Amino acid sequence: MPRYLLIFNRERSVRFLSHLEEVRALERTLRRANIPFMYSQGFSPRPIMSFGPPLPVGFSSRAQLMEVKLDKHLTPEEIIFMVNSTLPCGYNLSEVKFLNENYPSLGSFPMEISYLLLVEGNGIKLSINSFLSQPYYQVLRKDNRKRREKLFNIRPFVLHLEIINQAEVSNFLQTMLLRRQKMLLRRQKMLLRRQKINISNDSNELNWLTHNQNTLLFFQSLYTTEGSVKITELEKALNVKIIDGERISLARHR
Amino acid sequence: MEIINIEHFLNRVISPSRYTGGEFNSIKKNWETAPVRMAMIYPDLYEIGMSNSGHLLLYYLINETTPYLIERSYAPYFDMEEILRKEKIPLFSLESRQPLNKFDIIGFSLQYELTFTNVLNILDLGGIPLLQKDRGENDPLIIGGGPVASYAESMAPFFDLFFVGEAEEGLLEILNKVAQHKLKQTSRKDILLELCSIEGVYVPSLYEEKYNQEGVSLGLEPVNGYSGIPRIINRRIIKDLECAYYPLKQMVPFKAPIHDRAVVELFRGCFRGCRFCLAGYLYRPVRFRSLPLLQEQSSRIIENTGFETLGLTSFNSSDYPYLKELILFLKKTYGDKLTLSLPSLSMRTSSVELACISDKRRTNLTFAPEAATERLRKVINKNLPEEEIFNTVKETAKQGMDLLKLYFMIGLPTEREEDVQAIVPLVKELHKTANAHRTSKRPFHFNITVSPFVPKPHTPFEREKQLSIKDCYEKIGYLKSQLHEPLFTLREHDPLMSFLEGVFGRGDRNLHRVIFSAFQKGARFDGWEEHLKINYYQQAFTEEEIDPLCYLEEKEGPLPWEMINCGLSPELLKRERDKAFREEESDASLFTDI
Repeated sequence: MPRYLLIFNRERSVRFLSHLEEVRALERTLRRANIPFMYSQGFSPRPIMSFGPPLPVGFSSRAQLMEVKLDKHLTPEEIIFMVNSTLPCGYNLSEVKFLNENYPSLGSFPMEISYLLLVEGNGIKLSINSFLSQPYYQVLRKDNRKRREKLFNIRPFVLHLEIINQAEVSNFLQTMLLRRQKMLLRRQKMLLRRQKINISNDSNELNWLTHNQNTLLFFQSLYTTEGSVKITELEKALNVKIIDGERISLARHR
Repeated sequence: MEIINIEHFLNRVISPSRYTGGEFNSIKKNWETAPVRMAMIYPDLYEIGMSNSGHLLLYYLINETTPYLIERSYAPYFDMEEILRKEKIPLFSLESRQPLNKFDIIGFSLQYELTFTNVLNILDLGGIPLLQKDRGENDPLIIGGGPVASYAESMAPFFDLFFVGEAEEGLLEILNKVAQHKLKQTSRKDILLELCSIEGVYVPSLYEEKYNQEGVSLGLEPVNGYSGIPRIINRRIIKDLECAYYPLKQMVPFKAPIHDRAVVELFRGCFRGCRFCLAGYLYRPVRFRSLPLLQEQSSRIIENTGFETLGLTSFNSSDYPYLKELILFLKKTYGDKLTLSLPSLSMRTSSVELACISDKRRTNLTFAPEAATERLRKVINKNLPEEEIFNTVKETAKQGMDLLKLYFMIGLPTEREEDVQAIVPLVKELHKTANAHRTSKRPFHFNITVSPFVPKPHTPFEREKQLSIKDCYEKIGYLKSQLHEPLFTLREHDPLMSFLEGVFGRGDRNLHRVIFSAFQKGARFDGWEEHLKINYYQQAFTEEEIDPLCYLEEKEGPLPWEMINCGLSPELLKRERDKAFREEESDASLFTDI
């Protein structure tokens, strides 16, 4: 049965949804869109779908991932069209990829997740350098099942961390985002416009960055089945306060 | 138009999606061009409010079919309130994020007495003077609707008007009148004098308590000096549900409400006439929607929302004559991808079958026998013979369920010691029956909920005495000692809450001082066990020198809600009360409505 990867943007007020709320909202969107889900077998059939790593509440994103199995074949354009006309305001389906059969399923491979973080704090450069120069950075984590705390090294899950110049943000993004993705977005906007459905023009701009004097960080994390780093842990490790953030890409780690 | 910026602190509150709005199918109209702007408020948390279809029905009715604008707001949780107060941000509507005091009308959905302090908190946070007499020409009109509005005397000084009954037609009439007067800049007082001529509208400030020469209250009467103030306020209902508006594009909330589902409404009113039940008397007569209409509405709603569950709602769904046909139609059309929910089923064997075909994964059922003895069930007009109780439980066990929830009341009129004690052998016998017939692998479990009876206005029991807190605890304690784990879980409705419900439900205007004082001390979310602080109320009663216990006594003389006519004559209520004491049942479908 055909399998697809759906990549959503999220911005404005839907940034404040929790992972579970987002999962439910997107599942209902696909039902409304009459996407022919494939259902699991058994006593309580559920649509076969999986989601990418959870995003912190309050973060916007250009890479919210969802994998679905469908009953019949649809073109990516058809899916984009069907879904975008019934998405809650703030979401936008920017890309759909057909996955061939031997492509590993979402979550089975390690991922590189890139974020832009707007942070507040003193001596950020120093704390970044000292964090990166060490092979270990231990944090205390609660082990829910065993009800005790254990030490966990988050350093290996931080792939990249650097301060970037506010003025260069858009250049930076240009190189970060794949050209193909932008093209798709443009094409789909045209499609929607033809159907007289309004979508905002600023969906590809970081408007939350413009009127701020805070530091901007580029942060790339590694997400694996063995572990990952939580944004709040990074916040503590660098002794900063994260004011805003955006997930800008999500790719397979090689 | 300045929009309140909340995004910079939303990260700091629990469940920010309670406050963001933007749900699929929510409607954001143009603020500037709307001739009248109304805020519709459910005075509890978002996830409770979003489960109430009544206020959402009015939201859609007005937004979809008129030029007027309605936006929603709910009670902010403690953390949000703290931030709003600290940063001096007024409470706002979800859609346009406008402060509540910028609206022309604020409508509260009053479903429960223990949301009263939340009402005051919301007005206060919205920058609106709490007392009706303190509000100026630029303040919104404060309207109360919902079942509690038919007897909300203890809140009367805070409201400009109450609307009694089903509000679809009446609200539109109110909005039309307000729109006319907004253009003419009529004074607040004159608008209220105009509005009181709309059927179903009760303007409390136009009535005052009158006394005879001996100083005995004669009840409320219109204030002197005005003409055209009705002496009796007739409750409104929608006569024809078949033609009535019903929202087909229903809200799909992000934050899961307690009932996270789409809803169709099978019918309004109730055949049964259980003598303790307000809803059964307030919304008579029974009015059905036809099967083809419900089939059509259900399909459209499912398509428009993507919900995986559909609630088939009414007071007693099993009284809907085509319920089985409707369930079979929905099952045939949507199969297992749609779960049906039947929230209120009467205790009959046929209900079990319906529950099973509506959701084959179902493992529990809920019924309310209310009283354990045949005699007491006759007193309350439950029309439920013991045999039927046993047969229903037998059928429940046979159908593979392993959990049964049963509701009982204590403190019902004429209740004797043996009536309460009889709950124990009845439940134990039922459990034996269930276990003997069970087909589920797991042992059968009973969840028993015991609630103190609270006499409700507009019912035959409106004058009855309410059980004291101490007696409630005693009776519940006895039941707890007899029915316990592992076979039974016994829970109670908090007697302290029942106490407050009883006091404020049958209270008069004097009590508004107590509610105000409790609110000032910090009372919020009083209907939540973890938040109810009874000492705030104790202090408030003492300071205001009001003895709450007198409100629990049997009532003589005029009643505070007497000018509200709910469609049944006082004689009929009295006749029903007399019959109750004679332990006689009535067929409520034969009641003659005025």
